[in-house]
Amino acid sequence: MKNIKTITSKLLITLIVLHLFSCKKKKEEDPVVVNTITTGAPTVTTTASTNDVTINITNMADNVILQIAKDTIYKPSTPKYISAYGDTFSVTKFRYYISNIKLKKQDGSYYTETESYHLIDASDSLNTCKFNLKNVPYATYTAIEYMIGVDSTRNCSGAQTGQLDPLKDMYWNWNQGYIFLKFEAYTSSISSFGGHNVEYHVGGFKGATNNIKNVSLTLPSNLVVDNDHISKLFIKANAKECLKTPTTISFATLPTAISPASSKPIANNYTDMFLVTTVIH
Amino acid sequence: MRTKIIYFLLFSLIFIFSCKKDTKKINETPQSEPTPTTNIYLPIVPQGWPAPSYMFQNNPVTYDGFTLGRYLFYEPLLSLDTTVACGSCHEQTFAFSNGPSHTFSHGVNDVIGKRNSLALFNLTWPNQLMWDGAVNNLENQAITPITNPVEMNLNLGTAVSRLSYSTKYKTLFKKAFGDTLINSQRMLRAFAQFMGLMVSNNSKYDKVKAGQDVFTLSENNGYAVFTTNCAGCHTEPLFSDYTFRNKGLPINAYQDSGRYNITQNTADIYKFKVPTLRNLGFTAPYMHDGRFQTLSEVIDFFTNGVANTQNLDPFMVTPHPITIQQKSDLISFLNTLNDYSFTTNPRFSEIH
Repeated sequence: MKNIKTITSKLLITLIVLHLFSCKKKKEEDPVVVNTITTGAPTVTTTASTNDVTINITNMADNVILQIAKDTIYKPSTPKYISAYGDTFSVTKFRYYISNIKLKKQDGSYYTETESYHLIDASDSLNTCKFNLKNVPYATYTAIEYMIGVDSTRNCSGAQTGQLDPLKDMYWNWNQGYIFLKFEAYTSSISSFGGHNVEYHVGGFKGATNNIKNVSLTLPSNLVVDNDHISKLFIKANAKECLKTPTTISFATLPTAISPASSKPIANNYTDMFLVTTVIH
Repeated sequence: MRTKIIYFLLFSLIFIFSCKKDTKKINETPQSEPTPTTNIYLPIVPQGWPAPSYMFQNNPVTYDGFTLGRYLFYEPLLSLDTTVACGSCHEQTFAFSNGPSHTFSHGVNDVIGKRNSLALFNLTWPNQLMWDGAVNNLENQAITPITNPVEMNLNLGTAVSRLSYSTKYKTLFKKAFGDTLINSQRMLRAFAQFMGLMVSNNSKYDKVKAGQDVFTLSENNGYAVFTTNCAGCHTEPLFSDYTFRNKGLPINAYQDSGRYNITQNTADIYKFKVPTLRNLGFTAPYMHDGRFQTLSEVIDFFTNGVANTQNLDPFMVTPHPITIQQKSDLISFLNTLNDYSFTTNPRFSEIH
């Protein structure tokens, strides 16, 4: 009897352990069903004819990798840049939304990422600048298209979560809607306010102050999605483009631009800040 | 031995169920919160009223969600120094406005804002909220006063984490949403459930329209004065068309340019949202800056005090003279829009 008891309890433990493992395994084997659409229905695509594509964004200051200064005063170690206008500055914040990502196939049709909202933060490249597009159908792709900012629908759809959580500090409370891009800097020039801080918050999705920008980038070589590898797209985002073409920005005359209307020149400037540098298969 | 086998089976079953639950969690989408309770509080759309612009899409109203919203509405933890709740400046007795003693509302540290607290009811109808339309969806309304430096002045993240540390709110969120997760979306949706159900449609006017009461002669005459002079903007049955207009208030020291702050379109300078006339008897003082204490003063302004300021509404360019008798009748009529059952409804009263 005692023997039976021992065997029973051993079996019990084994069973528990087995079940625990089976649970874990299930979680890991179930990567497909994370993407969602507004209605809440999960989008499940069969894994048979799709693969992931990695997007890798590097924030730049022209030809060097952008470094975010931790202090708002210059120290010898603070990275400094020179703007098109000639101001010396360091960047203290550079973050922006890219959304509604699409990949254009050779035949002209599109892959569209579901729940496509990504907050890129140059001070947290590790966690924000690299992500995977899920379930991209096997095909050859020639271009990538996306929005800088958040579409007007989602700006008006009530309380959001995840990347669009207003806690992400990319939301205007006084004129509700998402801040599409924040560029903050410290400059040696003295502004019309008498200070050294520069603050550009770009947003606005309505009428004359609509600052949503659509980006379409032709890939330098075709992106092939098949079952071989996860293909990778490397994109550079040049923060200094916020400050030039078409409007050359002087920090002294424009120390802050924190409303849809005043931030419009910054939005017009950064429309061309992206470049796809490499496609790796 | 047999008992052991039964235990085995029981254990296995429990584990199988636990696995299923896990898989479900992975499948769960951020947009569709579970609806754990069947105790439904139905949103009200009174007969003959237009369709609301906020329809509780993705935010089905439940008793527990509504109740959580009610607790939040009266929760001073949501202000920086824990002294001010939404209910501090939006009191039920005054149809959720701030009452006659406050031209401007006081925020934390007794900071004074530059606008008069709006009364809160029938909030699912306007598609833009606040005097200047700063808010485009009822779910996000609470963000603005909580984070505004002259109101509750609390970082939204701090608000959420304060609630997360509270055992009371863990329980309330669990009841409302099925688990103890507290995030901004759930907080805001609970607020929307509470505020969205604050419907005021039981005034004498409503009863007359439903054939359950009759206007006095004076009220009836006042209704005619209203129809000729006021109904162009204060459209029935909500008594506002929710547009933004400059009604010609003389510019005062505050120089508040209203809707222009939002659109930055010079054609919107001095425009403010047309407020509803419902519950006027409870919501003095009047106008966005609370400059008039009585309905009599308001009517005098409209008949005799309109200033020709930038973007004056075309409807105000020609004067609207009325006789003393008409004025008195109009006030009688306007007082039929007071809904005492709303200002005394225990469902919306203070709770802690």
